[in-house]
Amino acid sequence: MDNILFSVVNISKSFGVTKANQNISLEIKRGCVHGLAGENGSGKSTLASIICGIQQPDSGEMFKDGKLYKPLTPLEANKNKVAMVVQELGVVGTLSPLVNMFLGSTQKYAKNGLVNLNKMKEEARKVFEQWGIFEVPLDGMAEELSIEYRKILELARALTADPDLIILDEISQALSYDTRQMLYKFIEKFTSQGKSVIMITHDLEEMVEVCDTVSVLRDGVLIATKDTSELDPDKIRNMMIGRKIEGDYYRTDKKENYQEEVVIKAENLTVPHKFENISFELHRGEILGVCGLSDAGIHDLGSAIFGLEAQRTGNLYHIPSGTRLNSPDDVIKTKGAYLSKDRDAHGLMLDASIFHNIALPNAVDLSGRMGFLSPSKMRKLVNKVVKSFEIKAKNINQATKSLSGGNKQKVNLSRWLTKDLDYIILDCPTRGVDVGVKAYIYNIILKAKQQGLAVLLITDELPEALGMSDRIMVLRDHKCITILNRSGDFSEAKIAEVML
Amino acid sequence: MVKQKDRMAFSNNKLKIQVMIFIGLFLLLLIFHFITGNRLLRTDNIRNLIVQSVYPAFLGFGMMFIFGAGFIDFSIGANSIFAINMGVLTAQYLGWGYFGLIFTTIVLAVILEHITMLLAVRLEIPSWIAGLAMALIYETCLNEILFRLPFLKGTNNLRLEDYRILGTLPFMAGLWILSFIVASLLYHFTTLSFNLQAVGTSPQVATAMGINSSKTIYTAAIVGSIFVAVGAVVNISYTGQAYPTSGLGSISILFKPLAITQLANSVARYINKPLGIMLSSFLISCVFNVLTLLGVQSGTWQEFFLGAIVIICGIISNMKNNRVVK
Repeated sequence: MDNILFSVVNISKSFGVTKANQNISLEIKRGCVHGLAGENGSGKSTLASIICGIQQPDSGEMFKDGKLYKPLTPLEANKNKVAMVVQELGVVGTLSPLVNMFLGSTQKYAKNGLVNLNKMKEEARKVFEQWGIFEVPLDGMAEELSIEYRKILELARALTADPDLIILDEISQALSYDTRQMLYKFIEKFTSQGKSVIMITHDLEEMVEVCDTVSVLRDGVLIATKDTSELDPDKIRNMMIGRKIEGDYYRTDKKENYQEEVVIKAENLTVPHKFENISFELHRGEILGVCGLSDAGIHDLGSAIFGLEAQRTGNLYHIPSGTRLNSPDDVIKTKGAYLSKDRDAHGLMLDASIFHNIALPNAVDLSGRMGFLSPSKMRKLVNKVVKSFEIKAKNINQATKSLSGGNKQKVNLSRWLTKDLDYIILDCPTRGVDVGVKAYIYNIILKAKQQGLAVLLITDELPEALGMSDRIMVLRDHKCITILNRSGDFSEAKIAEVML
Repeated sequence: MVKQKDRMAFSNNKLKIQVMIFIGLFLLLLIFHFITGNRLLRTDNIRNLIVQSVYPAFLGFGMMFIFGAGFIDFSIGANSIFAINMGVLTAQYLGWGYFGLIFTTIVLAVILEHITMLLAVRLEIPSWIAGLAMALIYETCLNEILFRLPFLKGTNNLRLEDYRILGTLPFMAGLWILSFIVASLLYHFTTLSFNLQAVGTSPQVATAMGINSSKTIYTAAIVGSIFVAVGAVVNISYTGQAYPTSGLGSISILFKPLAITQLANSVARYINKPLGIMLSSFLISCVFNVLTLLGVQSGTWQEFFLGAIVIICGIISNMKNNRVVK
């Protein structure tokens, strides 16, 4: 049997004047994990969406098992045993997770027009069991699931097609430490059966660790395909950016460094079933990292501090103003901000333009004495933000929903970071963002820290927490287990030990 | 590795809230019964309540499918009034009997709904605008047709004298329950409904899953308009008179079902939507019945309460949507 499972030959795709893919050719071997690396907007997701039939190429051909493969829809791709977990797709919130898993193919389980849900449930459980992935709650509504569960649901949905080739488009960045380990085990099991994975991730350490080969794209062009034995994260980074990136993008000092003044004080914060009795002090110029396993409650802590959890008890104060923080309004008024992990649902106005998304949080600052806004001032600010954050868009009037995942995140983050803030809660700020922007974001955060910004950095990525934080609060079983200092035992092994 | 804990916690919580909703509903009925001097839940009045619940429930089921695709179509009322008038015309005046009444009403309701949908989908007109415009057109066309019928002598008022068995008990109650069963089966166990909800709430997911959006929308329009048409048949069989409307008067018949669907939406996480519509139709009928029993006349404060109920139901329904979803 030919060792090549899938090949792409001279694929090109344009959107107007933007050339998303230009003559891309690559081969995927059987039982291989093939990484696709590239900056935001480099054409990775476009290529993946062509492979799985969401879009059609302008030219070029694809072959699976040596036969011409030309899917017009994702269903056709599924029939050819190709499936994908799409980066920005999500689930239908009003349907049950079970129905979501088989959406588009529920007819298979219908008899006399009525769908047999029990049979579907049996099939769903078989999929979870077969691949060793944890079962998400199948009843209720999918909108009640956490992002992590939704991602696993999307993975399970892709697996219902029994694929030979599965594309994982930035799935791991939504997952916590333990679930990532489960994902890696799944990939191992999947490839051991001669099936292949195309993995798109901005976590280059993960890419080198998990993938066998890596193809690097830049501006829609394939730069190189190499075995990971020849690569390290720095080499991939340099190929992606097209220039040499010197050194690490995390901070290099080994000691916590912040002012004595307390900005935020939390006492016994509790949200039933989510977390209990969390107390901490966040100082001026401090980055306080928050880590924990998937169900530890770290993301709930962020939304609770911002005032989105109605059942929150305990005390939370902005010390400089003496304000008790009960609602998002209190946070905004005390020069605070919150960046949700789920940017599409809670961060951005997807149908609105980049201009409106960036201008909105700054509107009050930009309004004149009579309260009227100056369009020219707003445009000037938005153009400056778009330029400095290198947001790739046709113009500032482009709808935010049409941006790539990374560029959406840039819009989401940039609009807050341009404001005069006292403190910010960042929940996975570099989720779906490429290395170049990641470095830029870290740089901005560190600069802001030096200017006295207090940062609560909630993250699923231990290297990020270790690389950026002065202290790290570790949550386990909804409780704060410890707070580690940068100058103390600050290592991945130590945090993993406490987390697990 | 199964996260059993989460599943158990979710279903226990759901069951608890379901029980609380049913207890709450029961207590509310008891309070209503008490404030009406023990008249609300008397056997003869329960018959009234059922009769008043049937038509709004049918319209609610119709809306569940038509609005489910994301189309807020305000022409449903004008559509059903037009179709039922033609149904009465063929049944009573052309002598086609029950066949004419049911067949004509259903066929016309389906055709008119499709015309509205077609305009909204093909011409990409916002559905509420297309709906309002078509409501005006259907109302005017019907008035023009009726006005030109020589035997009506310009009264614009058709009467269904015979063929009214579907408007009597127990047929009405039977149809009410049957509509609930059919709506439940269609809504929970058919590919159409799953695809419809995907198209209505997440069009991108629907496309990526290979769902044919247009086909789904048009099929849902057929199903929804059949419910609307059958509801209209039951209603005319009960009232015996078909009144044409003008100047968007047809929209007023949508308020009760709108309140019903909003209320059903607000508890949809705990009680499935068809059952929610069924219970809501009964509850809203109870509210109006209570008002009547307390001497509040139709055309006065009853309409005030209807408006207030629509707003309250909308608020309750949106409370769910505003909840932070993680």
